[in-house]
Amino acid sequence: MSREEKISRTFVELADTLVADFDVIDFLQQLTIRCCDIFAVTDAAVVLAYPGPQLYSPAPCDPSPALSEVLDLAVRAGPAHDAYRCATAIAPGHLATAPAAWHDFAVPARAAGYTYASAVPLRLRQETLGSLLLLRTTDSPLPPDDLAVAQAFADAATIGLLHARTLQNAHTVNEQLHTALHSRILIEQAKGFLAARRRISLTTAFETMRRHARHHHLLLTAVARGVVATGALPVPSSAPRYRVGDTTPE
Amino acid sequence: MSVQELLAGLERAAGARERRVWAVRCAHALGLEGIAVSLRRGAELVWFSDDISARLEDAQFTLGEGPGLTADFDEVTCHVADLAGGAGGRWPQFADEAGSLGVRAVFVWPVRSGGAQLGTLTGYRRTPGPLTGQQVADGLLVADALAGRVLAWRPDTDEAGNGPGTAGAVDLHRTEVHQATGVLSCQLGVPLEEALLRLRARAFASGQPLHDTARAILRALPP
Repeated sequence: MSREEKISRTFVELADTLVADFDVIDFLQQLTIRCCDIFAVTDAAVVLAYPGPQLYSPAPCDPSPALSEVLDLAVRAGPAHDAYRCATAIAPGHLATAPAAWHDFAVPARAAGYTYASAVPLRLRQETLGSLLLLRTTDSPLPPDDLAVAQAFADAATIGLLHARTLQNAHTVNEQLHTALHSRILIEQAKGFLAARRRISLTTAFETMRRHARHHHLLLTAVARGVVATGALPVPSSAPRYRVGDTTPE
Repeated sequence: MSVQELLAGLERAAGARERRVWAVRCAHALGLEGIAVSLRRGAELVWFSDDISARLEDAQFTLGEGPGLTADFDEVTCHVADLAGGAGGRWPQFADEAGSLGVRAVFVWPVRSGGAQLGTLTGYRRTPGPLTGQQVADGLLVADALAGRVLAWRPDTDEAGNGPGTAGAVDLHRTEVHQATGVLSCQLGVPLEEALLRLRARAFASGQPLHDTARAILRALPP
């Protein structure tokens, strides 16, 4: 698939939120995956200001070890923080020459192997919901055209979130942000539960839930809820999709 | 005062008296006459703006019925815009008791942390009628802002420290705490809300910050 086709497909995905089984975490996760693929960035993360004032990152749910190390700092200083506060795109700068205000983010980010960092805001009319952080490990910064496309993705994602509320009877975008916060917490709780239950790592636990969700066409949040409520991966009662005789529904 | 400005003030509302002042402001910002937060299905009242709010929570717990006890934690709110109307019939004794306090409308928002059902935020009005969409959303924001804090609150105490030995507030944005809550829920065979309380108790007993206690639990998992 060409880059243009990937970009077009991403816009279609970001607009396609008027579906009954819309899942805000899956949606934000998908946005980060597409950004990594299309822009040749090593890591992408969404940050949101809810309930605020502190920012947090709802996606990706499976940050790389390097991203895990810097995410807590990225919400306090650096491009993700600035893009949110100033409601403008923060063009990629080399972390070695980052402004002093970025120090607490830039130093550990360099140590984690990142070279260039940029971010675009998630804007909604006069309000800014958060931002999209893009991190590279290459010798070249994100080209300006790519930053413009990333901003267009962020705008499309925000509009998508707004549209999604109509089918869910949500009155405001706050309810989407509420759902995003608690879905992500629930996924983390379920990771811990499943890891303890099967004596596997947290990463494997998440991968197990994600594969299970995809295989059975279930929402990731629904799988997580099933895990913490029943202790097992939920299987759709109406139409089991695994073969008869296959006792490992995965 | 906007709800966002109120939330910024929450950081500083450490003592019981300040919290009560904050609760009154919060109720007014949401278009309510009073507000209360209860934990563990009403068993523990931790925060209230006025006597009527406290008595409503007591009535609900004592009678074992009321909108706060039927709140669906997957829903954003449970509204009873007119207790004297048909809706009050679901909880006849509670509706009577609320009526005798002059309360006509009750609004409940779940206070949760992911799948952990911590408690409820309940507001009332003496005139019937629904909240606006914005008020519903603002109430949700307040409930979420409170979720990490209410576990550390006790009425009539000024203990609100976050240092070792105080267990303190739960930072909702720390993934390790949620993961460790899931681990304990599995290992102890208890619901998530109970697991979170156990995690806090361990932190308190060991004098360690909550996230250090959580990390220690996670270190026992396969890498």
